[in-house]
Amino acid sequence: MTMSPPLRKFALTTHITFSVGWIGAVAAYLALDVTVATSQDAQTLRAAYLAMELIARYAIVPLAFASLLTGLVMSLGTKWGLFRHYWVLISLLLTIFATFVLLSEMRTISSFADIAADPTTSSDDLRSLGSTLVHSVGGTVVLLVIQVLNVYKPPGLTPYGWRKQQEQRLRTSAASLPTRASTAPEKGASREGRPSEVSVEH
Amino acid sequence: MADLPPYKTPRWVKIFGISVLVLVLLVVAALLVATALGLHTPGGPGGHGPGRPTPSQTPLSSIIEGDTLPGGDLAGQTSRSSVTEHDVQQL
Repeated sequence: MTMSPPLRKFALTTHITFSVGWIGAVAAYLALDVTVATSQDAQTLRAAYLAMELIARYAIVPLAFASLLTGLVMSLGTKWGLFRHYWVLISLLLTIFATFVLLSEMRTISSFADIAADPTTSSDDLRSLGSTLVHSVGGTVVLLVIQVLNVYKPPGLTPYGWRKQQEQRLRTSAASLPTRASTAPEKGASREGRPSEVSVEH
Repeated sequence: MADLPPYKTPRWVKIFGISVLVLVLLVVAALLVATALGLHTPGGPGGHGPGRPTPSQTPLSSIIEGDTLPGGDLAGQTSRSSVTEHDVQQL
């Protein structure tokens, strides 16, 4: 189920757009979160809480789901696979974890925004609301770890990927035995954990 | 299949796993210490759990409580309807 090179490039572009967009939206949210944690001005706090809810609901959550979905398409549509390489598997787990925490945190963000939107809320109440800084900083770190894993692609097969690779090697050597007289080493097996086809690089 | 080389987990995966484990343990320990010292209560001051009273709820409940008829429920919806019925009867 491998994608053709043009389709793969399109999917890759989409995936990068959503993933980097997710990090950018979190950066914008983080700026407001720091403002909320440090500011004492009631108007600034009110505006920041409302903007945080809008950014989270209409930018971060959709981008998180889009990134997860396109990531699944990219891994399943290329030779990397979803469970064959550790960097893909860890990226997937971290993305699911980040999305789960984000969704659970949406309740808090929405309640803060509701309180801030209420004109009867006093300045003291606004100042005592608190922030979601721990979660937004943690989320940023998780997203950066995922980004590093996706750029560097550290080699390393999972037990499942290793078994699949061995089976494929055995099948390839068994199929080529009757036709090949030479004993030259196989191409693409030079580095463990790397798919042998150039087209799967992403 | 009997001559397969032994599988080895990559070193970076081991280091990554240990780091994540240490981080999780640190966070859990910090939360426990903060809770024990009273610095972190999910529904109380400094926390932001669902149990935390919100400023928008406080005035509403106090208004409703004052207008509740004898024997009426103190929960928001019932009390509000009681006030409405009371007002209608007055008219």
